[in-house]
Amino acid sequence: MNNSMLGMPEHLWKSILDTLIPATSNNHEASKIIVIEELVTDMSYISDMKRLKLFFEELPENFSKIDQSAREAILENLGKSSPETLDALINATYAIYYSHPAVLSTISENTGYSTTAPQPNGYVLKPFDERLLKKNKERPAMWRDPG
Amino acid sequence: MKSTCQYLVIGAGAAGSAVAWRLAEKGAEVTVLEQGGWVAPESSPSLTLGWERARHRTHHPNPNIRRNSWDYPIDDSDSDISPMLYNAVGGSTIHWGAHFPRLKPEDFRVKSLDGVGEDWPLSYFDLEPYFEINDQMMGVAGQDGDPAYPPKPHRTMPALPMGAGAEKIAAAYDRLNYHWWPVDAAILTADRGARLACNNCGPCDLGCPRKSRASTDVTYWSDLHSSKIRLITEARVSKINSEPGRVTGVTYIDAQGITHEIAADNVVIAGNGVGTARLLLLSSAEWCPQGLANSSDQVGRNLMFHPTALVTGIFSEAVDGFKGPFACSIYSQEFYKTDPSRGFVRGFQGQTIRSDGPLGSALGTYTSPVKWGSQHHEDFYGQFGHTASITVTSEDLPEAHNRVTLSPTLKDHFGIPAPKITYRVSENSRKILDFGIEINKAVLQEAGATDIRVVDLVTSAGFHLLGTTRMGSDPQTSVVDQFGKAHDCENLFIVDGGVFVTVGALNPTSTIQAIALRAADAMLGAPLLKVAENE
Ligand SMILES: Cc1cc2nc3c(=O)[nH]c(=O)nc-3n(C[C@H](O)[C@H](O)[C@H](O)COP(=O)(O)OP(=O)(O)OC[C@H]3O[C@@H](n4cnc5c(N)ncnc54)[C@H](O)[C@@H]3O)c2cc1C
Ligand code: SF4
Repeated sequence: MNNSMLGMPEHLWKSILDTLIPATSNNHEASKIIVIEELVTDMSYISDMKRLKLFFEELPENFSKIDQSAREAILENLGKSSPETLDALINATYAIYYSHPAVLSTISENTGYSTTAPQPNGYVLKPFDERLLKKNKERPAMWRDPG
Repeated sequence: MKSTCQYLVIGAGAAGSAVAWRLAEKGAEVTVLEQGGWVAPESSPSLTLGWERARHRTHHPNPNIRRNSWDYPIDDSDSDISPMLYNAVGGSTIHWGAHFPRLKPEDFRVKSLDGVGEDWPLSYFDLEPYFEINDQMMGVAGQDGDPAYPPKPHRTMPALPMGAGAEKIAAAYDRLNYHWWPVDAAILTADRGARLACNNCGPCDLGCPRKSRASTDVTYWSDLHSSKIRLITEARVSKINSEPGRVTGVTYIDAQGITHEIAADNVVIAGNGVGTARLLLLSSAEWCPQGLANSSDQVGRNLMFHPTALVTGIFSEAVDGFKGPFACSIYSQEFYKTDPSRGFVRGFQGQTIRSDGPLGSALGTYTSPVKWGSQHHEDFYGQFGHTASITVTSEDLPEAHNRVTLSPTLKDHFGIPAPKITYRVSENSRKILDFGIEINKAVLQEAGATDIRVVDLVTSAGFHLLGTTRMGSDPQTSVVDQFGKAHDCENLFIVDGGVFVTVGALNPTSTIQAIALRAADAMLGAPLLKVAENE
């Protein structure tokens, strides 16, 4: 337990993260990707840390021992009374997960999305084809001359 | 000791850079004070794998989230929409999408044509030659012949590639017999000196390392060859000093917190619709206790944002919307005009927005966030790369209660009171949004979307900061005249989006800059350009 984890034990953090993003056959679970201290720092950008602590205090002690659907129900319920805090937790979890090279490489395997940053290579797109405007070119003027 | 200058421009954003360039090129001696610094295009996070995270944190367009030392905070707790802006050389064009439509001729005559708002004291045709200079300076790609506008000069650079999502939407517009056209974009599609053609990387809002996307630091400032211009960065103006009927100069604070004064023959403010109103209110004096240039009590009022809804289609096949400038492909003005049978006045622009990378898709920048829990991955792969969106960018009419004031409690890190925004979406705008949502849903359905998601108000779409120092002929109801000259001060000028009387339903920056260029000519007493006299 340490302060950079908001005083919560690591196993509890991990089960919260994996409730949000569980593993599937070809996708990582969140706890494999996310360093908890980084998550806490990131959340300080977008959330009131005191509220976050209160949110976590509402979790039952056996949270990490119960099954996924029961954990989802608990988080969903807590989110009803504190939607901004749950949103911040999801936001920070997604922010770190979907910027991680391992996750980007999985997405690339699954979809063909490039594993590199948008620059310097960019992407190739078909040039604009003026012929597509045939119908609109026949339209009369659509602006009003107010005189 | 005070230094002095002929024209002191506050703000080096879209308007400030244009006005400073025009004044200096015509031989005036100009000093520009900008509270931010230079942002190197090569420092864009789009060159790193963490680009999307930067977009949602350190490079967020909301100053309350990114909390850069150049920023000031904004109290938006009483606003339906949060203002987005940037403080640097280039101003908010550092972050913008570069969709570059002009307001239309009828947008300047809303009172006469539609019986609402006010007419402007100038017309589209007064601005036309200045639109043209500005287009040349910024660099515009587009397609000639849009029936939604009077003829414009030939676009020398081809329109941007549409991308697969926009192609589906365009075909749907055609089948429904609705207008669409490729947008005018302040983005190069051909190399031009040190600025390279766009390579469709996507996140223009993170800055463009190729300098394809115009921002005024790489356009106007790179063209400034006059030795008569001086730019002081990290110079935060805290007050415009004045005596009855005229301004005498400004007080500013540098990055070290040291206070300086500059005397000026003329002061030109270009701090945007929030920053300028804030500064005028901060500059109250014994002779103007309600704030400088505010005898009409209009400073800060009539704030307009263009409330925006977003309708997103999810397609079963990939449309790869992360490719191409996110804000620029095609638009529709089919529902722009008033139709009394619809139960509201004026209308909307449908701007096709491409899409996002993995993180933006998960967070649902354009649609609802991806579900968390056991369905997370399935939902993510159903959305990522499979969406295209159409905005409902609605007309926003001036209402006195929508306004910028000074926060009684919030201050920037130099202790200067922050602006407070009070803004409610009007009933008319809400009706436009609801109508536009139904239209866009029908378009996306026609385009083949298998699922459609709606954000009925994008609360983070406060990109257009307009109306808070409006122009007019009557000093009782407006702050400046058609040339940006304050009614209350003979040597104070305002040239940013605050001077808009009404705002149409189109992105404003092209019009803001044209107004600034024309104002510069008027300040110098130079003859105003007419069409075909453009230099
Ligand atoms: C994410 C995003 C996307 C956008 N996309 C588009 C788009 O596609 N098309 C479009 O038309 N518009 C778009 N806009 C809006 C566009 O950027 C603005 O309309 C335009 O930049 C406004 O120009 P301006 O000169 O009025 O203000 P700004 O460009 O905001 O410049 C104001 C400058 O004044 C400085 N300043 C303010 N107060 C002080 C002070 N007290 N002392 C010193 N300096 C001061 C600021 O630091 C800033 O640099 C977008 C904006 C954002 C944030
Ligand atoms: S999409 Fe084009 S204009 Fe936008 S940042 Fe990338 S290269 Fe620049």
